[in-house]
Amino acid sequence: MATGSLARKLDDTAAAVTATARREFSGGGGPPVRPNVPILSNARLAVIMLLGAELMFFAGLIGAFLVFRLSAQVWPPPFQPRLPLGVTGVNTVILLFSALTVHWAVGAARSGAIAGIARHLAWTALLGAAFLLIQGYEWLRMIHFGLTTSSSVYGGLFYTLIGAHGAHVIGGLIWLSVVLWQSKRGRFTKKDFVGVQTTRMYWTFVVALWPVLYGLVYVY
Amino acid sequence: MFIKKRVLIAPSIAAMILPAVAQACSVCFSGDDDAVTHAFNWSVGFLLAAPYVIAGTIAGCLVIAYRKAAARRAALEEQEASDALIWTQEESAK
Repeated sequence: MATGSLARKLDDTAAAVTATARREFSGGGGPPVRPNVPILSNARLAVIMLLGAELMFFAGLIGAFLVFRLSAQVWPPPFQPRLPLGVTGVNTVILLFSALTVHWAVGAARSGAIAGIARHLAWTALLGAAFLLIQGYEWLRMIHFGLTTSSSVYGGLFYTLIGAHGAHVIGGLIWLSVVLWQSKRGRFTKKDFVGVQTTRMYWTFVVALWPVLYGLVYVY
Repeated sequence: MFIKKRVLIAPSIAAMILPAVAQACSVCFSGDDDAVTHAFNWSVGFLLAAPYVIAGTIAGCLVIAYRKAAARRAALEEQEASDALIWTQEESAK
């Protein structure tokens, strides 16, 4: 389903580029010209490659986690605080909802509702920031309870995996802010909104990764 | 020269046949049914599968995009053929 959705988006972008190129090449009066249009915009291809590399990065971290988790007789280790399942579960719902809002931003761009792009991107950024704030608060509590990177392998793995994801959320928020600023300046149109699409690709990756990490680190 | 080569190669072959003697395995520190062995097996299996899954997904997306683009291009060419004919008729009438 996600692949079909991606393919449909690729089609829309390519169609928009084709229409623009046809107008530019034909000059209005000459014979019809068919420009050579790539099947995928360079920006989207670059983001796909970036996400592939990011997935391998997290696969490496998860591989290291599995070694320690599966070889441990008792997990979490004795005398280590338990992770907050409930609050983080609510936080997961918040982050999942932000994937919907960024999806709606692309929908607004596709339907030509330019004001809707900024509104939905702002909601996405707000939900992402809320997720980060709640995570930060929980981290402070866990440090207070004695869970640090040096307290045990458990702590080290937790802060490395969840911290790496948090860093990606921060990166996503910066990305969202730049695209939000661009959309407010009228950068995107119904035909050209590749910036919003690439933002959605990255943010969807960040959101989709979280339930996997939550299940592995918090629940398992 | 030939004998000298044999003398050099023989210990290498011996080490391959008898790895326990050579102690060349960096992760051979536990038994077959040990939890650490299982942990390493799962982790290595996961990391082995990851690049194939990721590359396969990306390739799948690109193939679908290419097929859609090919279908769109075929429809466009059909439209262009009629457009070109109309244009030629209009030009010849001038």
